[in-house]
Amino acid sequence: MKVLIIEDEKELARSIVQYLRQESYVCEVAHTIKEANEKILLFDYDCILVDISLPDGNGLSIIKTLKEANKLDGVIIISAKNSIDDRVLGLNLGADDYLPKPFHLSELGARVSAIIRRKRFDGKNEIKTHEITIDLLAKTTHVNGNVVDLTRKEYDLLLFLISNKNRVVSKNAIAEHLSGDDAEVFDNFDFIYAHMKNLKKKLTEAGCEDYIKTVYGLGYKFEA
Amino acid sequence: MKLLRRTIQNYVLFSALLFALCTPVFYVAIQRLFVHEMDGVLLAHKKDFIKSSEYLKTEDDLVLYHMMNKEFILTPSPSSNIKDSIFTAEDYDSLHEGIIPFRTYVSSVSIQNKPYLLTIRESMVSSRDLVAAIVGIQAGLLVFLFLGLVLINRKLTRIVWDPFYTILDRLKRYQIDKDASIDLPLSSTSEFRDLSSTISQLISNNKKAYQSQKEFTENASHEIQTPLALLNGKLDLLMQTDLTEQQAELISNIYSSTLRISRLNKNLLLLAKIENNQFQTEEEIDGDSTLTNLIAQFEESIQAKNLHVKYSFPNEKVLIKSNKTLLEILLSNLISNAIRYTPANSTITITGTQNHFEIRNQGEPLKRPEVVFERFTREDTNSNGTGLGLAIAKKIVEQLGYTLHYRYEEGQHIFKISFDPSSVTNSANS
Repeated sequence: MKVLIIEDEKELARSIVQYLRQESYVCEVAHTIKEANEKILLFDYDCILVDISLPDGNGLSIIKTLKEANKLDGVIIISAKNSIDDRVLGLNLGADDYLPKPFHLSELGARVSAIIRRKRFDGKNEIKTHEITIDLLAKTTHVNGNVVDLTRKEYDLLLFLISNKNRVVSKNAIAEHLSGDDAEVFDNFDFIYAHMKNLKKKLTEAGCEDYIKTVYGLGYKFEA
Repeated sequence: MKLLRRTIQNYVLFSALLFALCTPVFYVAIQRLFVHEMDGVLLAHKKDFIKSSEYLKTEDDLVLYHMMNKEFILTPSPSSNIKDSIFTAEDYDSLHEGIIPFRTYVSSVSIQNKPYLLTIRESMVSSRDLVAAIVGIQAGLLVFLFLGLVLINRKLTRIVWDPFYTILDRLKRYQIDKDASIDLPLSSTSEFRDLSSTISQLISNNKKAYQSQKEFTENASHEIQTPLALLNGKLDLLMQTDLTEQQAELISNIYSSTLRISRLNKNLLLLAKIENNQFQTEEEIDGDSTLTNLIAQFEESIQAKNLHVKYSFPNEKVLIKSNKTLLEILLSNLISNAIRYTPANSTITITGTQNHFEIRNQGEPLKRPEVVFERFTREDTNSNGTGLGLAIAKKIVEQLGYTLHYRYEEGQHIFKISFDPSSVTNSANS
């Protein structure tokens, strides 16, 4: 699966590439609109990350180009300008998602995988990892074919962890992900422990192996 | 005192003084001039008399002369060396049938070598009337001159100073954070034209300074976002490496700090955006559903502290016409403030009507309630708040034309938003 990262901040682009490669995505980087346009017209990508402020113009123009070329790539806007206008404008132009800077790479990972899943959607929108099957349309979770009754938060948590499989996801990233975009996040992470405890309990009771590992005080990791 | 009155007052004062001083001086001067003139006439009469006296030979001639010239009176004089004198004396006058002043010239003459006392009289009535008339006309002229001066001055001042008052009025109404530029009249008076252009220049410079100061915060916050994103990214990557427990703890600490900077930066950016009027649109907002959504966002924190959030709209369905984003941030900041500072297991109460919203939570009284809305003032410096939440709330309230008051009552902190400040009656302290 190919991901194009259009970001003029080279180090940030490198970090994103490094993180996404662990998910076995093929990543390419463009630093300018010119570079990006060349790549877009030559290749097909499953997901394109676009920074709005680029040295040679507004990244939104790339989305226009994509639309005109009738390319149905999934687009995520990443922007330092967390402005509602840009968000609305971008989404109206056909972008799939908007992620304000600064963001957690795990959050980006989850969004990229969501877009790719949607693109690869072929009648059945499911994620399978060993004995766990998640139905993304019905929002249900099965272990060995049996339904596991998860709450909304537990389901979100599991999906977030699986989207960042084999990578450590920080407590902060989880807290922000679960609270939603606009919510203020408190430094009290007790609620994560509670959700995590319940989730692990429900999965193991359903006969699932315990894939969720605690990484010291830092965060969690879904190892599979 | 108004400029108009001040100038006119000085004119009036000067004119009145001039009038009061000049009239008697003028009167006396004219009077003197007349007397002097009359004295000349009297002396000339005497010369005439001396010339014609050689024709007066007998007593009868003298009587006849007196009959012909009533103003000449000749009386025999005991001595010939009486000094000449001119004076004013009152006497009966048959013509006027009353006592009137006469200018009288008494001189000794000799007729046929006999000494005589010659008295020449000239009635002063006509000259006195003339003086009075002249002075009267003069005084009248002065009064008209003075009245004209005041009237013209008033009118002229009003016309001439009109641009000045227009400038003053526009300046009073000018608000640097709201109005784009100031529109000043271009007067034909060069001083006012100068004033207008100087003020316009000053304001445009101030506006620029104000703008760049506002933009600075926004730009600085934007610029900080990228390195922060970078820092976050690298930490996320560092987390993926093989770590010892000690390293993990250090990363965890750095991570928390970057999160805090991000939050601080986000709030600073928000504050700058509110100041830059970036939230303009208005719509009807349903109070009930807005609160339900907001409280749902805080669900985790509410559960973690085992809080009970009660909200009610006792009277009616509340619809507020406002900017949705700002109103949500305002309520969200006040609710999050309440959640942050209320003790565990307590109740937060929110009540709303069409005119106001009140958010109450329990807690110890503040040490410095007067700075509760100031930026970066926190009661508990160990709290993880950014110290901007209430400052943002206050800014939003100002932007939307509402008021926000804080008071402490019966162990409860109460924040009250009034949507229509003119109807506020019982806001104890703010």
